[in-house]
Amino acid sequence: MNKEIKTTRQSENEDFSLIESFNEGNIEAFNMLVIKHKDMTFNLCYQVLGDYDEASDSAQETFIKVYNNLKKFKFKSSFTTWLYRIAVNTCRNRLTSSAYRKAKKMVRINGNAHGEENSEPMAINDTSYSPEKIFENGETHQAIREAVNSLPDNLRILVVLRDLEGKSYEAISDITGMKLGTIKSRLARARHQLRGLLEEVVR
Amino acid sequence: MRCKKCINLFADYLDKTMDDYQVIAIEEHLKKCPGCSEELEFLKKYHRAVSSIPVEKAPENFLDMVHEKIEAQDKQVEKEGIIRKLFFPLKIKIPLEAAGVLALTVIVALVYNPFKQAKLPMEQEVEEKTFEEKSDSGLVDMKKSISPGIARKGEKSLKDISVDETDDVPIARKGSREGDADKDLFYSKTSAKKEDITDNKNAQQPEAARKEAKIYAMTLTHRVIDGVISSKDKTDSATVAVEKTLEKKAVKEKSVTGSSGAGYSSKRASKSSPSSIQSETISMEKKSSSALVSLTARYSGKITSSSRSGTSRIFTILIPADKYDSFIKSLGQYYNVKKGFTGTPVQSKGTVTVQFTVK
Repeated sequence: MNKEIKTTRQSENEDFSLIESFNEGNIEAFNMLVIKHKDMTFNLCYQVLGDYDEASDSAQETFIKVYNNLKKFKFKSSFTTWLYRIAVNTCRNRLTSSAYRKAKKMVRINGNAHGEENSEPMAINDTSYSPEKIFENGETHQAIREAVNSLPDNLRILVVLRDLEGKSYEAISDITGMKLGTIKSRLARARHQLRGLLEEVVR
Repeated sequence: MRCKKCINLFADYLDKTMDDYQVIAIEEHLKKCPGCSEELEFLKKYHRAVSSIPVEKAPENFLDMVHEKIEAQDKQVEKEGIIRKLFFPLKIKIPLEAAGVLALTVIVALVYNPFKQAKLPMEQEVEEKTFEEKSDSGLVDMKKSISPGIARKGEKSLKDISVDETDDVPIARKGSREGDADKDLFYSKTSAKKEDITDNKNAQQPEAARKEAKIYAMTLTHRVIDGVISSKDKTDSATVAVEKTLEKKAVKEKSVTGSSGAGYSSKRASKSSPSSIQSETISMEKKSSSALVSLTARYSGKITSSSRSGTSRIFTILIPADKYDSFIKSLGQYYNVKKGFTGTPVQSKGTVTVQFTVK
């Protein structure tokens, strides 16, 4: 535990150093920040949006916002919290956009996130491809993703941050701006809904 | 413990962040409630499954794609260029628009020139001042300016106005001078001839007469400027000459003619007299004596004699010595006589006899 805390603090200090270096004009410092945090950011966007290309666009947009606003970073919170906040807001905006809603109806889910066709393509709203059936094909993870994607936007983000990203309630409160009590009650509600979809899937 | 409350605490229960008494309470409830037990079991399996989900990695060329988008963004900003700079943010936009409106207003004002006609009284002052500058050194600086309200649109020019001595038109004069008790002096036509002084305010005077009076006043002033005597400036030869004359208490007549030859003459005489009496003769060109008459009455003076000499009229006026200066100042309103014109030390007691020649 102590080792983890030290690692976290070292990581934060390293981020601050890179930010200061970037503000002095060192563009390479920004590149290092991107390399360090790109997977974490992309994964968050992918879990929330449920689509590889959408996740890639959102993650890139997140780092462009970071590039434009890094000089405004006040070092009051950790860089990862600030980065997550931008990513979550970017995903929220994309979820509510009309273009995304239209595309969601026609999204083809392939076997894995990289677009390899391991199984027949399907549409999300195709009821013949329920999480149970996906499970039967050994795709537990995919079933979980589908179940999470079926949640309302505000519950989905909380489930991804807490259950998939492993963020603490305090960190989620900093990222989303919600109170701790609200976060916990909404998470309970979300998990109760997931139980209806995944009870036969998870073991 | 109720099921709803118990379910809400399952997350903390699994995270092991609850107090001991709360743990006991939950475990007691779970023993009695199969529904909550199943819920808790699902959550345990769910967390196991979720924790095994691999982290999805970003594309390999992710950094390049980010830089491509940043460059495209910079180009876009550069392309918008001047327009963006001028109109964004609003702090620039609004002042710019305000400046545009102001510039348009100025252009319209210059094109249509609505203030052209209001310049007439100003032009009158300019004419007067120009004339003064062109006068000889022997001319008194008569810088009395005309009230701007006098000039009226469409009125005749000064040179065209001829005022006959017999007109005795009412005189209107606005504005107050230092030490002057007479601000507005009006005389009816008939009262002037009868030397009946009537002092009315502007509001009681007929409009036409008022206008005429103002024209007259302007004319009068203008004519006086034509020929003036020097000011009290000691370097001026005429003034010095007058002062010397007075000092010697000799009666001398001195006339100074202006460049236009209008014939404003100044006669000043002082007699050696008992200390309480001084007499001076001052002549000035004036077409109406009504102002002189009314002022005499106002300052408790007396017109002791009045006679004609050719085209001129000579008035001998007795003025209390202590009011003499004020009297001369008041006359100066109508004749643009500057303070200190006489240059005469006036005693505080007795009377001053002044002879005015109206030409």
